[in-house]
Amino acid sequence: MIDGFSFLQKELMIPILLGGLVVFNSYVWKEWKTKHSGRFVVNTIVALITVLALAVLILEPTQEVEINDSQAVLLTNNFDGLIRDSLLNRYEGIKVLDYNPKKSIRKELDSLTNVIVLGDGIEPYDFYLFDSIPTTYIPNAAPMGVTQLNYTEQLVLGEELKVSGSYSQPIEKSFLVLQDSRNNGLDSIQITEDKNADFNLKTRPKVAGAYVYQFAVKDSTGVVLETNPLPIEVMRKEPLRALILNTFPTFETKYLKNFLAESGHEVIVRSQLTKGKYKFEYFNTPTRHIYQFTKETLKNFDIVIVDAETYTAFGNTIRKRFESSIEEQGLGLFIQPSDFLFNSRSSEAYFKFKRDRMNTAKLPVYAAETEKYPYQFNEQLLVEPIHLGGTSNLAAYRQIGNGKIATTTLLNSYQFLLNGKSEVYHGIWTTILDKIAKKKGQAVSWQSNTKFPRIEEPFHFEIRTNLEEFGIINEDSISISLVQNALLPSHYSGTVYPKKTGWNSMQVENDSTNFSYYVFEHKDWKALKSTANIAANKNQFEKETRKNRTVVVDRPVSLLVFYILFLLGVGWLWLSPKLSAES
Amino acid sequence: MESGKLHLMKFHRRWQILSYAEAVLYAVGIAILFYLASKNLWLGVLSFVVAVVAVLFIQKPWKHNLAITGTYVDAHVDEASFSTGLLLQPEDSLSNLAKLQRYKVSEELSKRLDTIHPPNKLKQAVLVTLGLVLLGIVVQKLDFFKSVESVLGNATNEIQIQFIATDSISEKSIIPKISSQDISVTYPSYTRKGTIAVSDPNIKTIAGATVQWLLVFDNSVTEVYLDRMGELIPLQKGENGYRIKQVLLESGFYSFKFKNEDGIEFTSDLFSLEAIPDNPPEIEILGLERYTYFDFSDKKVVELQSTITDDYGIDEAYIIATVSKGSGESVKFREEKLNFKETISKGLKSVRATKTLDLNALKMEMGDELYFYIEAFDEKRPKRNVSRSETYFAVIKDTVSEQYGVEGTLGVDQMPDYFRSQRQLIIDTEKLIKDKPSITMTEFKSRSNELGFDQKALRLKYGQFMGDESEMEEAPAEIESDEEGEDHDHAEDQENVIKEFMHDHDGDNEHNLVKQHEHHEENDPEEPEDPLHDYLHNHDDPEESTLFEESLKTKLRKALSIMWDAELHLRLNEPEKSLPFQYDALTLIQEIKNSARIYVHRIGFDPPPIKEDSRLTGKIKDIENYRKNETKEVENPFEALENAVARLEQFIQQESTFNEADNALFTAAGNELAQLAIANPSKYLRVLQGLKGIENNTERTMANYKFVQKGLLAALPKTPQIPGAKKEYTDEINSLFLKQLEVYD
Repeated sequence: MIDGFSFLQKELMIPILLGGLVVFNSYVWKEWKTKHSGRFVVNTIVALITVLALAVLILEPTQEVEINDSQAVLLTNNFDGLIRDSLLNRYEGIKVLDYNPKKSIRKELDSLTNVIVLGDGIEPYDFYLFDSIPTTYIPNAAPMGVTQLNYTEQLVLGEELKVSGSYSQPIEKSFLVLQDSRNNGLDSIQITEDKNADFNLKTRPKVAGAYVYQFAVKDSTGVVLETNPLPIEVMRKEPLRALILNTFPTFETKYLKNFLAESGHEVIVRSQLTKGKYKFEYFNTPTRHIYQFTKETLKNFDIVIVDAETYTAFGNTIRKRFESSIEEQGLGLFIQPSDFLFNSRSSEAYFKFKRDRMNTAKLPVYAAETEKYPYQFNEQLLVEPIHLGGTSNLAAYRQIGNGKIATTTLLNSYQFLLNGKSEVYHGIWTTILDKIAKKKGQAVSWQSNTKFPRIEEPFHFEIRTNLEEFGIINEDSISISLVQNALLPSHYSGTVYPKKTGWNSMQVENDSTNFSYYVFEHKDWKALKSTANIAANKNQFEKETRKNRTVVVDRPVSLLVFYILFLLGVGWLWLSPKLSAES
Repeated sequence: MESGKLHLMKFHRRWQILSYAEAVLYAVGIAILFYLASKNLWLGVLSFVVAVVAVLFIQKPWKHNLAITGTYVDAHVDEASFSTGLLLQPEDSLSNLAKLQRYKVSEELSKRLDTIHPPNKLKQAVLVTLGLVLLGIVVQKLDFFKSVESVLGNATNEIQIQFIATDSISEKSIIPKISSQDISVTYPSYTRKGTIAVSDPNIKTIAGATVQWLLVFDNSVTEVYLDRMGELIPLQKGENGYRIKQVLLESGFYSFKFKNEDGIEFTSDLFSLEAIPDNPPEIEILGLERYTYFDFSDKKVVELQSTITDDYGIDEAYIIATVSKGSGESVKFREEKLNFKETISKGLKSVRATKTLDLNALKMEMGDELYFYIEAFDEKRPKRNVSRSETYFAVIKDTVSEQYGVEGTLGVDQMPDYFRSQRQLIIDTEKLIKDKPSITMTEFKSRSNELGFDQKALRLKYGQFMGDESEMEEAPAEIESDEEGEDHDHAEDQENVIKEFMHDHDGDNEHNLVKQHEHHEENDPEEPEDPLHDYLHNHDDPEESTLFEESLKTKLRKALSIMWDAELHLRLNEPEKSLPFQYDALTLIQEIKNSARIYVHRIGFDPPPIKEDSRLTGKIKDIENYRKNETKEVENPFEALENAVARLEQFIQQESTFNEADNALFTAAGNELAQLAIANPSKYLRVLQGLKGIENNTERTMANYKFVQKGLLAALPKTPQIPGAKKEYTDEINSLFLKQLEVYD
């Protein structure tokens, strides 16, 4: 039973007890001379009781009491006042709590037996607070604005930035505009109906760097209703090292070679003149001989472009070397097509074709038509199509380990250049070569697990690296601790609480690779955040309603008894010398 | 005796001086307030004068006279016993008692007057002045009148060329200023505009104008240059400043550069030079149809009215008239240059020119055509701008030539005149459709019908090739074309005339007579009525005609049936519906024509067959490997622009500040943008100025960074598509997964 007691003023316990002891001792010392009179012992006991009563009065004892009918309604962002009022009517004595992620409500929650959450809901990082409390969530309706959003956060210069999502309850005839960091309009869509509208905007960024693009909503007269930031990071492509091997010179190779060389790539072309004699061309790279295709030689290239004849003429050993380079180092191999490729029925062929008797194909994106071999790719497990200008059966690659082998059914694509449609030619070959080119190694890969980091809210991230020992520091060179995944030792995760809005960065200690993430302001993407919160809350609190829990609460014990005790004690102590003097 | 009066007068003067001092004090306060508020000394001086006058007029210190002074002294000096007035009166006019009193007062006043002060508010004035000064300081600190000042002051700022030191450290040195700037634009002489002085350094004027700048500096400067798109042109030092003349031929930008005595370089803002080309004259012909037709009996006069306008002045204008006589190969042309009725005086900006063209005077006869157009020149040097009006036609209808048609049936005169080709028909039909709104319904119908007739004539003509005889009596039965293959057909036709009357035993079809008979019956039920039919080699039957090979025949047949449809719609007054058929017919006719050409097989070189076993066995020991090494510069014409955008983003995100290395970057970016901007200087001028401002540290502000970045982003062209390698982390797990995938392949 004594376990159920405690004191409100626990921290005063020791000083009060010491003080009580002193008072008591001084009483005893003062009364020492009357020790022989019979009252001494009685007085001492009374004094002890009085002092204790006084101490208890100051310390305010409490007693644990069990309760199970204490309810509260927790108001979060955008709650509906009507629902709150009807709840207040329905449940008498229900408490009203305001939710503020910055302020802890743990104390209030501890004394509750169940909670009703109203509005957009609790921040997911606060869910743990409600683990032991039966919670009912009354969700809000979907808010107005962007409720779903997907966009390319990281891209390479030349790639398309795609922004897609859906806009709920738009104003009719309003515009959704994708703007660059300085509000130049890049792409837009007008919403024609007032239902949920899906949108799809795209643009190609013009420069590399970290930029905050804007997603603006304008009404039909062009007045900006709201803008939200779209932070993107545009990286540069690095030059390729390409090797082209031909049994005889072709126009296709000539133009491809020129295209690559003029874009600053290192290109080595070896075309056969006659038996054992070759023509070597070196662009943007020093002269060196390429006769043997050892792993070491192949290591120096990101991409090898070879015609079908040359590749089949290679002996088995050389082909094995190629294959292992592709598999292990991620080399990209492009086989230039010829009738020979389509007609070979070898079981070792990387691609299988079937005749489709079509000699031309349309490229809808470029509004152009191209010649092709009358074949198309057969479906195979590891063969994936490469989408060229809106069609998917003109080129394909096969994944082999880390590398890729690709080929195409395009014929005489250089004619695009001759016809002045260099944009189409560059587009096609950029797509193909980008797909298969060897990726430059990166020691660390970063991944953000919080889609919209906000100030002073947890930002979770993940790191994958093969480095054994490394440290992560933030901009102020303060190191950040990571948790290593028990099963996958190369995976780490961490959490930081960003201190400023805008771009923040982290980096590997003593390494240049850094990771930038953009911290949004609270006003950004409100509807999106609400939608996400509502969904998370629904998911969290949807489980069957649990019974009200019983909560043990410390209730203060009535101090009246102690007060009377103290009065009586003091009264006795005042009276007793007088009584003894009379007697 | 007089000392009292003297003292009184002294006192009076003191009073007056104090009053004036008070006024001056007030005025000083007001003047300082105005000066501080407006920061303009002259305004201060002016306000001082105004305030002095104003306060003096309020106080009127000159109105103080001795009487008032006396009254005052009486009131303040007891000893004066209200008798000061006595001092002011001539002694003689006083009674003895008064004289006594006057003496007494005089004595007293000499002693007392020094002790009292004339009434003044000097203290108050000092306080007010101090208050005004304080107010002035406060106003200056708070810059209440900033907006007023900017309105007043900017007029000079904008137009005056401002200079900024390129080296930001040396701000303390004296910045030479332009004390007077004189920009004058001399228009080319032909414009008659002379020289115009302009105040705005952004010059927009006609191409070919000469611009002269005259800059006068208040301090001595050296090496004054005009920087025109990177080209540095020194200014000539003259007596009264620096002078430069430039001929403006193309748009661009310019700025000035100079060094002061300490050798510090200064540069001005960037200004635009925009060259507007001189437009060629515009000619408008009023109230005349493109085609005018006259009957021979008409009064054959064309009233030509036109207005010719030019932006600077017309030099010359005349009519070029061409008369064509005859037709076909015998056509003759005669060209004449006619002047307008009015003499066109040089240099007029707008001229109304008229001319009456009398076709008779031009010696035109029936069937002759007149083509005329107006040619006008402006006065541009060195080469005049020319413009021409559209060509107009006047035709005297030839009624005689139509009579040939009647005689056509005789087969004597086979003039292929008035025969419209399919192409001509299409053109005419299109014209008819275009004219439809402007002509009457009857005319429209009649023209459509005429076209229908022409279409029929054409069909019949082509029908001839198929062997079709004429179907309609109105139409010439034998029509020949001047198109290719004519001679051949003609000869063939001539032959047919004979053939019709003979039984040709040499004919190809002789042995197939029966079969042909059956065939004919199916096609043409009227045929059996002709008793000779079976015995004739009948070229009239289209199926029988041997003029073309089989495939051509079907084509021609198709063309003819399409022409039928074309004619149908023309006759129904629906030229729009007829047009597609006409086009189809034209295509088919073209095909037929082309196939009638003869192609000769080319004889090429036939190599002897190669023996496969000896192939590629030649000796190749002298053949060497060929090696070529080349380094191609990657040219990105906008590299600096791109880098500048990225750098500006860093400034805007406040991740970095301007450093020395950026100078070169922004200079390069400016040059690249200038290249882009040549075509449209005014569009990029603000951005270029902003860039310059960043470069020379006068406008390194957030707003300017943002503005410039926005301009650069808009100016940059699309990103070219170039392949490249991406960075990627190879994850163990992924590699393992890919390996596993292959197992199942």
